[in-house]
Amino acid sequence: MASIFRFLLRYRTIILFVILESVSCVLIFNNSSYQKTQFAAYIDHVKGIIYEKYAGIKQYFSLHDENKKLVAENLELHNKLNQYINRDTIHSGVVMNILNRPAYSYKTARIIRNSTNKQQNFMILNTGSKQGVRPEMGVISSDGKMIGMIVKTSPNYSSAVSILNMGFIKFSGKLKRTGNYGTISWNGISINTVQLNDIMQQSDVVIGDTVTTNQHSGVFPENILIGTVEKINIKDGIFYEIDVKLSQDMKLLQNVYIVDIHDKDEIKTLLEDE
Amino acid sequence: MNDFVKYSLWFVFLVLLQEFVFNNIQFIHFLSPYIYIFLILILPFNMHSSLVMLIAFGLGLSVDVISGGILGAHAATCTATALFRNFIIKATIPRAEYESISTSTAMQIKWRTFVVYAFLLVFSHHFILFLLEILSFENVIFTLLRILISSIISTVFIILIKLLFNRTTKRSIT
Repeated sequence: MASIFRFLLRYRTIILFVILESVSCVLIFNNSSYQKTQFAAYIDHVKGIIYEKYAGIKQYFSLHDENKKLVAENLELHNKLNQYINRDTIHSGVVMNILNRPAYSYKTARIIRNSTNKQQNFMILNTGSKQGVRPEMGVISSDGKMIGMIVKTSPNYSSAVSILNMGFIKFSGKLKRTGNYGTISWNGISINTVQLNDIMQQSDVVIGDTVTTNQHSGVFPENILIGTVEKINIKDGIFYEIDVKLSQDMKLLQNVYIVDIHDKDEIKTLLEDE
Repeated sequence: MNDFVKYSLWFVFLVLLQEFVFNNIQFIHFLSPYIYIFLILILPFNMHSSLVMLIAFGLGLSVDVISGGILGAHAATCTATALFRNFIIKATIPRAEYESISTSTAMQIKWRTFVVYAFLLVFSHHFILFLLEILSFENVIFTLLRILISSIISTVFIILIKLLFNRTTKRSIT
């Protein structure tokens, strides 16, 4: 018995090391359950308040540029609206039939914190579960480009994983022209480039092709712009690795939209039943 | 000042500084300076390594909880860094320098020694953390480059913090 004690005492640093590392590893691999706890939500809430104050100051200095963007967006929307009004008067019956139930809707949000310098980049948005935001909703920029997905919500804030993440979440994307689809990942090298994988090598891809989201994941609606094909790398195996130049500058994000696909849960239960 | 109070204040200060200042610095997109390990650097050299390890674990866990990334990554890294600290102290700091005074800390050693000691500790911390974060050996060269440059920048910030506080402590003594 005494020798056991002597052993424990002698190697106490190493034993402590092993215990602490084991605890850490358990935490790392059970991460998802921690994210749901009340405590994590509380920390996010406090941080949200502080970052919102900070973002308010930052936003004040970029008001000018934001205004310009809003004016441009307004103009574009007005033009679009005109087209619809004109069409409505001619084929109103048809439009009503198509639009009898909207498939998805948008919520507005503001980014109060955004990182681009990590290997897993996250954004914090100032709308949360009280405003109806739930995990697995898509996030798109104010100009309508895909930028991330909500992973966690607290009552008034939510955090979204950015498209710039290495292996944390894979988004799905497709080539708009041919409809071929694959997964979007990031190799962590440039913040303007992501990679489109799983496109067969004999398929038809040209530099400059548009890459958009597809509906399969149920996170985004069809045809939200991601970027354009910049370079086609031929790798061993049967797939291309295509470099996609992002259309959105990930450093210049402030106002964003969150996409709520209405029938997502219904589709999901059908998939799970299969 | 009581040591316990002093290091507790450092603990809180460094965790907040890390989250609200350094986690927002993004001058080059792939660099992320981690300065909170300054606490592991300045714990007294004669403190028992088990205690250093416990403090380091708590420090890492706090940063994990506040920064909201992968929970446990910083805790695991700091625990390992605390283990390496012993070897790094033995390798870089001459015995005479840390055994002369009973409560010697990194705040009192020579500048040249401090820079080498700080860089090695920061580098070992960043090395483990960055590999843990991606959990793969893809693009090893790029990851190593990222580790090296981030370590250099973190060390520079740590030196700046030391400069700032060395001055104030000296002034308060005289």
